[in-house]
Amino acid sequence: MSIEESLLKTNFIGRDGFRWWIGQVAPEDAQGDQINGSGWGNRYKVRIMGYHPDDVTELPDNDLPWSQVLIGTTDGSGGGSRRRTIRISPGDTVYGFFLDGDNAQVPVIQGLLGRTLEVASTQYAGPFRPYTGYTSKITNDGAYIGSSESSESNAKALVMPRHVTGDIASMISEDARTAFDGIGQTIVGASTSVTSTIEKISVAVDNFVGKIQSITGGADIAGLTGVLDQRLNGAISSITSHIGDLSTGLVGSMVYDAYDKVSTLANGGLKKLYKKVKTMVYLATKSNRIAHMAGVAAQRALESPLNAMQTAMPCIANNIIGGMSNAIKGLLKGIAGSVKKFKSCIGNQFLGGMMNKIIGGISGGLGPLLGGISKIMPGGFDIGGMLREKVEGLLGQVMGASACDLPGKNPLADVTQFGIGTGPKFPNVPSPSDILNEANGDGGECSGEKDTTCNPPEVKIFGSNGYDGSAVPILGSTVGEGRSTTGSVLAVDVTNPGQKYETPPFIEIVDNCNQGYGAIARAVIDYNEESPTYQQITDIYIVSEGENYPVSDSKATPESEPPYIIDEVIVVKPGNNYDQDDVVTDGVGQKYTIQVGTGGMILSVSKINTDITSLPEVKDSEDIQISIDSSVGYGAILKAKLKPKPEYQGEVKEVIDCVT
Amino acid sequence: MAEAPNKNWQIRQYDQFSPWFTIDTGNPTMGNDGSTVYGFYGYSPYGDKNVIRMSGTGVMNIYNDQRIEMIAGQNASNPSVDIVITGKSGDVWITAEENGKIKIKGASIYLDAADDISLVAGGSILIKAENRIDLVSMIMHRAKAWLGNLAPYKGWMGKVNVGNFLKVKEPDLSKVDVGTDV
Repeated sequence: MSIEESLLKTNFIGRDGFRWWIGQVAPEDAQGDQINGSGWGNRYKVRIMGYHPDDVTELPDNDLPWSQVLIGTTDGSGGGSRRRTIRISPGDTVYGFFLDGDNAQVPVIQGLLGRTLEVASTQYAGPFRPYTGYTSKITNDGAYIGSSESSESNAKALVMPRHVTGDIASMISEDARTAFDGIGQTIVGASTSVTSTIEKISVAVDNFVGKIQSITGGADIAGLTGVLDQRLNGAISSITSHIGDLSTGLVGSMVYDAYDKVSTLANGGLKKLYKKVKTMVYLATKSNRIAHMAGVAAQRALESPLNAMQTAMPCIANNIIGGMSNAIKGLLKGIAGSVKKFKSCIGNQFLGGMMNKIIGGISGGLGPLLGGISKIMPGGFDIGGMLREKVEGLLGQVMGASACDLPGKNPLADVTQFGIGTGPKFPNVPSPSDILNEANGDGGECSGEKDTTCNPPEVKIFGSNGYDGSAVPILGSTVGEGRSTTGSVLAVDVTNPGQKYETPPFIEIVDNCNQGYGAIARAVIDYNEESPTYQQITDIYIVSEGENYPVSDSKATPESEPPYIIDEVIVVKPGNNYDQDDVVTDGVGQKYTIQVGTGGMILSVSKINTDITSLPEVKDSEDIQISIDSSVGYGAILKAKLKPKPEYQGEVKEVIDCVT
Repeated sequence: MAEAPNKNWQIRQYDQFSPWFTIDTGNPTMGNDGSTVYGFYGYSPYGDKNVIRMSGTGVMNIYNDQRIEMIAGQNASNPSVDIVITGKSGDVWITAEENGKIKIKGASIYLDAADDISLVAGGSILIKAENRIDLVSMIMHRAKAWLGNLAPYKGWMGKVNVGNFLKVKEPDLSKVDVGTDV
């Protein structure tokens, strides 16, 4: 700069030239205390292109000038306690201007250019080469939130955790993580039903399997060491105690019922003994009194062993309960060992194992005592055999105990299970016969490969005191080919409206492989007592279509799948302020009129000009989007109801009047 | 695994403060209960996760790997309502999984049920009052027990009227018909 130019400088920004620049934020080491909580102002060391050499020996990073940071108008300066932290990272490409124009000594950062997925997050290798914004104190290994440093408009730029189970997240992609490890686990609600003991144990085992999979990541437990081994044993210990507590009532019920059956047999035996002795003595003495006394004496002779059995009952129960803990732990360790290959029958197998332990305990405790009363018990009586034969009955009694309280109560009337992240669940309670089969070793091999034949999802309807409702899902938006084709649930077709639903029942949409997720449906029932469909399901509409549901073979081959059409549009929420002239349109171009009531609420929707020769087919979720063209109406939610496209019957050639 | 096509990415916005905390809104990726309207995601240095989220189907999730503390009323000037938990239409479930206990403590505890109150225990039930226990009921009955002083409950409508003290139902020799005639 010449002396003349220097003398002519005004030293006001913009009057002595305005110089833009672009540069790169220097590495962490060069930022000193500025990024460690002891900084002054908001400033960063920046290497500016065209002003600073691309050689750190010529100009070390530490010698770069500090660049002030210009703050946006919505960020706040700190005045009035309004402010935000700066989000500039080492390696960021920033641009700005010099406050001192051509002197270029006071740079200001005005903005920064976003990073893209094309830029690798590598360590600093030299000036003006892209490198990571992660530092020694800001790390992200991608264990939860995606570690990409891209901020571009791209679905992969910031990969967020998914609200699905860890299993499904790992199937979605390598980068997908579950938002919470508990998602997919089941909670059994408080219940007075003894059935819930079986239900709680079964669910606890299922949840245990999920927890073990989360801990091991699918690895063999034999190879687990350190903290993983500690977590595994912690999980086993915790659930052992939990199931041990749950089993107390079960043991008590079974011991009681076993005693009830034994005492009934003993009672019958005593009667026979009395009759036999009395008859013999009567024949010998012809004295009814002596014969009666002899009969009673024969019964009294068994009083001691019967008393011993009675006294022993609580001890037998306590001994079984005391020994359950080790048995439960052993069973759980067995499950943990084969958790990679677990199938849905694992809960039954566990309960079968518990049954064996309880039956063994009862027969082991009662067996010796029964020797004392063997003469009044049926020939060849075997307590173990009887219990094993009767276990279904015992379980049936245990599981059906609540039925005594309310005869004929529908077991699906209430919600007993809740899935974390999914909501109320259709209760999956093992049947007594399944448990019996497992207890007797007839349940087949439970630890095998998971099901690979995945069927289309089922619609499960439960709760609200109603029953018999059934429906089938209508799948669409398919992706993939052949047997790997998957789809979303576009709609639900009610095949049986059921009855006695006091409120809309819960709907669960699940497939046998649990591979589909996210389909959420809600039911609509008729509250009109005068209506023939009172307390029946009139509609089920989809609020989230979900994805990845297996489709049927016919759906995987679209030409063999019957096409669907929009049958009608149902009003989910009537909204307000709509006008009779407002027009409703669906995603396939059909138009509808609305009938409005008080306050402009939409009461019903009717299709305009239904031409049955050209009903447009529905293929994906966009086809069933319903929009309302209204200038003042708001808040209405309308949903499409689908049905298979009817076969065209041909034109009407002649109308015959059969009345006149 | 195949994700559904035609997701609405136009509405997605996010704000990431660090690997520890992110706000995500309008994320169309599908979860078990639909897409995400908004989500707050925390991740601690020890790998603990925290999520506060609203799903596209209107569900709010609050998940936390460690403890959640909800304390209110520290400086309330007079006794009032500090915390309200209300289900407007459906059940309110409180469960402690595995070995957790549920402890409710207060100067007075009211259980007010329009219908029934049921107490079920795998172990024992203890009712202890330093002053008095009042049982007011039209009908009392019991199902079964080793010991007791009321008649066995057998089937629907099994009951004992007030003032009746019937034979014990317990597994003793009374179950055996000693001296039954031919």
